[in-house]
Amino acid sequence: MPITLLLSIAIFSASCVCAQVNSTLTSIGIDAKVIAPITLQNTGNTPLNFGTVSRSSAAGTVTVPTSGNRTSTGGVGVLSSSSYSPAPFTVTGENSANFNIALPINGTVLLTRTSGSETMPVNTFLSSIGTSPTLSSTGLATFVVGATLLIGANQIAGDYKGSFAVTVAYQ
Amino acid sequence: MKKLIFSVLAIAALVVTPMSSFAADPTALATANGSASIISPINISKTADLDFGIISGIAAGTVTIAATSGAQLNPVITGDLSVISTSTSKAAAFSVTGSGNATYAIVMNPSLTLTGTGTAVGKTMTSTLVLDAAKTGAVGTLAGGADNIYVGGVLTVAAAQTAGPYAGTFNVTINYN
Repeated sequence: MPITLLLSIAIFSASCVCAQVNSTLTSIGIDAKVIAPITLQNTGNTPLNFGTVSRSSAAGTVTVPTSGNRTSTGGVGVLSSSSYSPAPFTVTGENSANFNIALPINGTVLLTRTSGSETMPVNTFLSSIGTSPTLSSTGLATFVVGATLLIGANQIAGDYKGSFAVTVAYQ
Repeated sequence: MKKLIFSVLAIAALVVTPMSSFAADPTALATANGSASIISPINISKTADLDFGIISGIAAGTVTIAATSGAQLNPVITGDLSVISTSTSKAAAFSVTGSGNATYAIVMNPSLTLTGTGTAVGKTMTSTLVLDAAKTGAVGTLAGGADNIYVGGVLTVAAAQTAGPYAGTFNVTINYN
């Protein structure tokens, strides 16, 4: 019985310390609740689409910019009949709040051939509104993300797919 | 003593609730897909030359080779000309290879000057190249990654055209649409 009593006291002491620390955080929690949460969606689930590209024995790149026409370099050509698009995103949050957009860094996003293992890197991600924009007076922002696809020499033909993550955060 | 412990635990529980809602608010993440299709390059190679044959003439006239195949065919003559040999007469033929059933654009300058050699050095004849009628709008369509392009022409022979061999070169350029 004396042992049980000691244990109870020990638990009580720990709870006490914990409760004091948490009480301090509680006031921060109340502040955060005043601000509307920030949300991010890939509008319409529209992908970043590079379209159809003809490869050759020389490597090349295809860039889908945030605005304007698709371009290519090196030994590849884009088929003008194939559609392409940057990926659109919608942000909601606190009216007129500043926020940051984090895009994938080079070397982290790959497209992989469907029913295959060959890959192509996607680099140089860009946002149409920069990386430190401001939500509108109604708490809304929209932007598109473009990037550059790296096609290898004699890249195996096929459909390539992948995914990438975009993060937004209040400043 | 028992009562005191209970009340402390209740405070801790109250504190935890607002903390978790705070943590979810300040950032958000979304995932989007990326996609691209890679296809094999488009290639063209000549499989037959355009040949008007061997022509004899007194007055002016024209010699027409239809753009229907790369095989031997008899030219159509106008004016005071006759064809001495048609054994080599044929349209030019090109073999195209590429991806699946893709379409492609054909670019060709229809104006071709044939330049004389040998006894006809310094002389010329003009011709107008004619693209395969199946290539509507100068667009071809691959079938299973292959297609053919035929090019015929209309050769204009002047009165008293100097006899001799005449030849010229033309380019056909293709590109995926």
